[in-house]
Amino acid sequence: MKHWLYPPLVKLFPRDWQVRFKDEFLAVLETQTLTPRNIVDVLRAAVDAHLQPQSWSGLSRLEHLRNAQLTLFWTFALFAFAVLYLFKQSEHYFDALTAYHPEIDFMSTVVGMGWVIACFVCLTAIIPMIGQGLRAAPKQHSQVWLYIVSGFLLAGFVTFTVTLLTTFRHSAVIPFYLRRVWQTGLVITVASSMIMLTLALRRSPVAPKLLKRLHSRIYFLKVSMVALTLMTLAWGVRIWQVSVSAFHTDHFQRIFFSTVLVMVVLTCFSLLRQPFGSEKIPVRSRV
Amino acid sequence: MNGKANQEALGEFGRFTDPSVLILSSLAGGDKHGYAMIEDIVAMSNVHLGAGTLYGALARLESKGYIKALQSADRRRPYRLTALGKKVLEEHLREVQRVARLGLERLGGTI
Repeated sequence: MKHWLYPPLVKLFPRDWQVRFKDEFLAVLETQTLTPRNIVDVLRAAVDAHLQPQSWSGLSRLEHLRNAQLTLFWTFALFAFAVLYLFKQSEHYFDALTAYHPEIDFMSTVVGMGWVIACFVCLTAIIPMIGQGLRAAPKQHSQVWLYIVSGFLLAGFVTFTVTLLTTFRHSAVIPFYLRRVWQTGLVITVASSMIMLTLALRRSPVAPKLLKRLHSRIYFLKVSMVALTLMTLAWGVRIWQVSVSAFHTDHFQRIFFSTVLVMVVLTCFSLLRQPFGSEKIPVRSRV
Repeated sequence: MNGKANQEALGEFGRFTDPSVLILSSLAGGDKHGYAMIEDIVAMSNVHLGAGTLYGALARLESKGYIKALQSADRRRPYRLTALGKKVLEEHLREVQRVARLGLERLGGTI
């Protein structure tokens, strides 16, 4: 039976999914009674389709690599720009904010640590793809850009981390223990990246099992990513809310904090769309 | 693909593993479209799959090459079990049967 709610429900699915399944899905949906259970079932399927596009899209391995690499690259670039600009250009404003609003200081610490972990997880997830991309490039001469994107991605992340460390080395914005976390994170990230890239490139027999195990763990970190995203959004909204009232006479600051908030939101959603732990993230046995 | 890999293949579907087994079992009896599958699965196992779960599993099975979509004149698109899907299902069911037999033996029952 037709119901006005069915078409809007189907619109919750990704556009590509709708192109492929919309008609037949609606046909099946219309045979079912509209109950809360069925609505929840459709909503869960829509969330799954968004979070795991690779499970239904049938993208080729190289298309998947290209999308994932490009999205992650821009994610890091956006987030790095937003955070660096926020702290570097308006450190005294931020200090003033945190002096009167200690909850922002606390949230900044929590969100900052969350992002350190998230960045590490992202890089761990991307490393096998970079390895696969580098190996695939010589066979696919038209895909030489993979070298460039992979290089940019690694260079971007290292630059991002190193710049943050340099920026905050003598700053009181980030407490001492948090700087230690950054430094430890950087060492672990770079070391593990190099090891995993080497394993992938040298076709070590350790690599497939290791990578597969890592991805199975990373899959469950999606939940953490959702939590982190919500936390970051709350943090961004609170800063925006407070700053707009605190600097209500300064149009530049209002525009600046609003822009940063938009960038943080875009970054969060961009990151959530990443297919961490996908069964289609290539491991060596599937090449 | 060996037997163990086949079992892992369905296991990778997470919450869609059980619905996938039911769908493959339903298609083992012949080509069916979505609604026919739901009806068949209810008759076969008394499990009612929601449309979302059904299409979540169908999309995964199709992308893995275990089933293929056939041409249809209307909105109801039928699906067919592929040779690979048949093999994966067979391996999975044998493993389930082995575990069930072992469990029943330990309980002192028989199959």
